[in-house]
Amino acid sequence: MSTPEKHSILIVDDEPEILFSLRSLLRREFELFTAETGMEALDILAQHPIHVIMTDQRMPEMSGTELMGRVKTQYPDAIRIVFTGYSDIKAVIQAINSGGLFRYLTKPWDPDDLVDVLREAANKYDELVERRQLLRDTKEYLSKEQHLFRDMESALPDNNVTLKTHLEKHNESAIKLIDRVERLIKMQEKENNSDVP
Amino acid sequence: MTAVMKVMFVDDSLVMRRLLRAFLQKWNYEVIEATNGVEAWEKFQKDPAPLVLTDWIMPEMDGIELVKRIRAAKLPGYIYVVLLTSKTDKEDLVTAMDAGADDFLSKPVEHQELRVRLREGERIVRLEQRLQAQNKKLREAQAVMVEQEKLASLGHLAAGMAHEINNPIAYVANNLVVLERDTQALLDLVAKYHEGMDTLTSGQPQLADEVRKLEEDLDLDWVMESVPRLYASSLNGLGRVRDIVRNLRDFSRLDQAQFDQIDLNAALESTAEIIHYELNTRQISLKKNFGDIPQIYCYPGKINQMFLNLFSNAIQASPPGSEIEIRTHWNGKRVVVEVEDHGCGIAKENLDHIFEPFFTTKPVGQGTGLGLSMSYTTVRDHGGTISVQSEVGHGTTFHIELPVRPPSKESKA
Repeated sequence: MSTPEKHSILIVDDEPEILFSLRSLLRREFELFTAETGMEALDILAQHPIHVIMTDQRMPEMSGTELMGRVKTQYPDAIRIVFTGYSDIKAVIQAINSGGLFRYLTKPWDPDDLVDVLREAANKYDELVERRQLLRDTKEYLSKEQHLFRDMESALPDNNVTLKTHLEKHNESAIKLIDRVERLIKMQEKENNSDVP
Repeated sequence: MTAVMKVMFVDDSLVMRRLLRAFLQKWNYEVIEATNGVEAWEKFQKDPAPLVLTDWIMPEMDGIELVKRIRAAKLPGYIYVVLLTSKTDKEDLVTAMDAGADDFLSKPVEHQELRVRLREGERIVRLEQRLQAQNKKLREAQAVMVEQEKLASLGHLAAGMAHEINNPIAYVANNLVVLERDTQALLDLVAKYHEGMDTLTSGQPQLADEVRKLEEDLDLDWVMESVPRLYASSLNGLGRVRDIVRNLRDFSRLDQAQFDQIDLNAALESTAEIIHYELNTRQISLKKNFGDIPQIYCYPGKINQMFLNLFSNAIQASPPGSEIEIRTHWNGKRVVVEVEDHGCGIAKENLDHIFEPFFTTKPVGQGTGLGLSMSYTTVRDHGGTISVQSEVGHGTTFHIELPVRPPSKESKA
């Protein structure tokens, strides 16, 4: 946990004692935000970059899974975790299966487990951000390479067939790779925008 | 219903008796005779007949008095009374009806008419008997339903409570962990400060004295040792509360009231946890001998309830210091569970009846007598068997066998 900047975590629960308790547990390691309702949570998400969001399932007005549905569409980067009592488990399983949630935790939780899960979630966030950036960087690099090959090819005299052929092949490979990277980027975006019931 | 019906025939005339006795027997009635009201009443009390054919005017006690006594006796079944009379006065006949007679026949008795009237009475008696039997069945079914409703609503209550309790347990446990961590940090801080005591003593002796006094009052050494232990013990206690709640919830299994596959050993373990307190209070020890058994398909709520009932019975029967054993094994075809106690045992004459609804040897008010009958029904609906071996003064063993899968999924366990 020697990252210079703490990851930001938003915790949503309608019971203030739980929020205070979790804030006390996590304050040292993470930048903590708390909300008592789904609407409050969405407000916070609009104002601060949140890496991990963890919510209770049973809340009046907006349930945990409903909130997560909205978070997935509006703030797809945030890693989503739901707390649940045993009797809510069907709703949560549905949410997991429809592709929204990173984990679910039962109440009461084991504080050590909880910290572990949050650390994993934070890492996951880093990983996803890194992956996306990597894809973009790769695409940019490949595009530049491709242009470079084309320029080099046209700059060569016509009778330098071998080299020209080489460059043409590299050009084609670069185009194919760019295609693959683009498809991967699109897949990631599609995953984030898929409907959550 | 072709059982022979008894008729009590009362008449002081020997001739009448001879005559009508012949007819009654010919018509396939079982005849009980009496010559007057007193004799009739005596015989009736010993062996009540559902049909009574009696003369009105007799010595000692007349027909009207006999009818009145029969009605006042309020026997469980209906008694159909026909009065034989030579009286034709309408007022007298009203008197007869008021006294409770169902019908009357004028003397001299025409035997065909007698036969018809008696048959009518017989029909009424039989209808009433059938009605009573049906009512009894309905009442019993209703009682079973009420009992099940009670258990179901208790289950609901337990599940709801479990949910309510989870939140406070969660944050109290969490708070304890935080407090432990922060207290330890504080204590480390104090220890750090303590390293500078020499400097403090020479630089600010008065302050140093105050510090030393505070340390003494606090008994810092004791605090540093006991604090971790207090936290560990508190967290442990909370863990137990959490386990009890989980057991209750698993036991009631309301969210899984439908058909499911379970590990019976785990279910027995968790049901046994529920009676843990009772065992301790009564100083009864519990031995578990769990064999390797496959998972079974069943209605977990009902199965758990059944075993809880058997455990409770075992506890009730066992004296302090004795042991209850739960054994499971796979016999190649079915899962076998045995619950053995070394308690008072069941009397031989009761063994055949213990699975009957409402059968109980407990005093009035304690228990419904439905537990074992519901257990029997549960096992049967799962396609299994339950049997019992017992010896008075030695103990009782209940032997349950359950298939991996009940015969038909529509079984209404």
